[in-house]
Amino acid sequence: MAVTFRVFRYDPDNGKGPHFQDYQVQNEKGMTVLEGIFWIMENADPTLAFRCACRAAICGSDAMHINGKYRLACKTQIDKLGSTITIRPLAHLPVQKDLVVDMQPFFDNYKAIKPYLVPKEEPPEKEYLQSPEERRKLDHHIDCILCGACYGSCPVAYGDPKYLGPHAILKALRFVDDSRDGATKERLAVVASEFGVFRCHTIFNCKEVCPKDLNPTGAITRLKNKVLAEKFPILKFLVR
Amino acid sequence: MNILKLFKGTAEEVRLNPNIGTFSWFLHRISGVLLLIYLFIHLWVLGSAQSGTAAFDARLRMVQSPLFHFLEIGLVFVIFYHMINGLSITVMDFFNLSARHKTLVTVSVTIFAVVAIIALSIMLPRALHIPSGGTHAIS
Repeated sequence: MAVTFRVFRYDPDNGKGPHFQDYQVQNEKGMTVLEGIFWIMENADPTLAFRCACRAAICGSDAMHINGKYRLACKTQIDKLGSTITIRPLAHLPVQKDLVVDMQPFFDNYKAIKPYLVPKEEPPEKEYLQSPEERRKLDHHIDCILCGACYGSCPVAYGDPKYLGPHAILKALRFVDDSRDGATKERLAVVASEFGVFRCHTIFNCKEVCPKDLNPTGAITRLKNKVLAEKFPILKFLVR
Repeated sequence: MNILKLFKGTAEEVRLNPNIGTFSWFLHRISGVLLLIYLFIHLWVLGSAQSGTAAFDARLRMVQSPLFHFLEIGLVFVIFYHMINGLSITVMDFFNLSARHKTLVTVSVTIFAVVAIIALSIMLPRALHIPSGGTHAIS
């Protein structure tokens, strides 16, 4: 069955401006949208630019807007989308060419929350010890692959490019929850800033689109409560 | 010009993310702006009380027209939408109910529907000048 791919095209050098281009792709059972895009590049139009690496929903390179939702092209079956597939690049990030966006602002926000372990004291001689309960606390956050689907779907990120974004805040909670980490205060200060958790309008798009079924909105609400409890100890009961 | 751009961008956000959360956020903003406009009209009517009884009565009479009665129904809708949505977000925030977002939406919509039906049953006859039990009819 032939499927129409309506792909967003933009090349700053050819002067045509942003537009959509249609391609007919022969769909086979089990074919993903990414494979469709590959087919276009190999057979119809080699100038089409896009990002991908692992093709198995692990690297997070190919998040794009496909038929009404931000998703990973490699994780989306053509069969489930109907006869026309409209593909746009991630929103809220500058488009460099076609489906490739400049992820720099996304990673700048990410770096702001210090996305690495800051040890509490001198590192131990062997490994850090962590109980299974302590480790289980991180289960909800560590699956993030930084694909940017949440950031693209967040209307707050549209309104303010300085907003940290769901990805950064989720990662901040991952380290705040980590028993080995010692920089909770600094991270809470960053997420409590003008461009942090209190910018969130609780729209739930990040939770809705996350290809790993994570809950960045929940992370934001938990961090809000942690920030409040730190400022006003009487509200400690809110922290869970 | 900037406002137009902002409005277009916001509409694009809603179009690209047709989720329940985007719709409620968009309506929350619109209802917030409408409430602000209402506040000015409200103060304009109440403020006339400073100029004496006659002036106040005159302003009150102006807002007793059918148009304002219909707008009043809209006002109840706008106030309750803004209030219920705001409360549900607050409850969700404080009690970590983000995983049950859709249940909260269902509860909110149900409360809103009940309020809307009650408001319509009381206010619509008045707006249409249908006497309902006599108490709400306009003499």
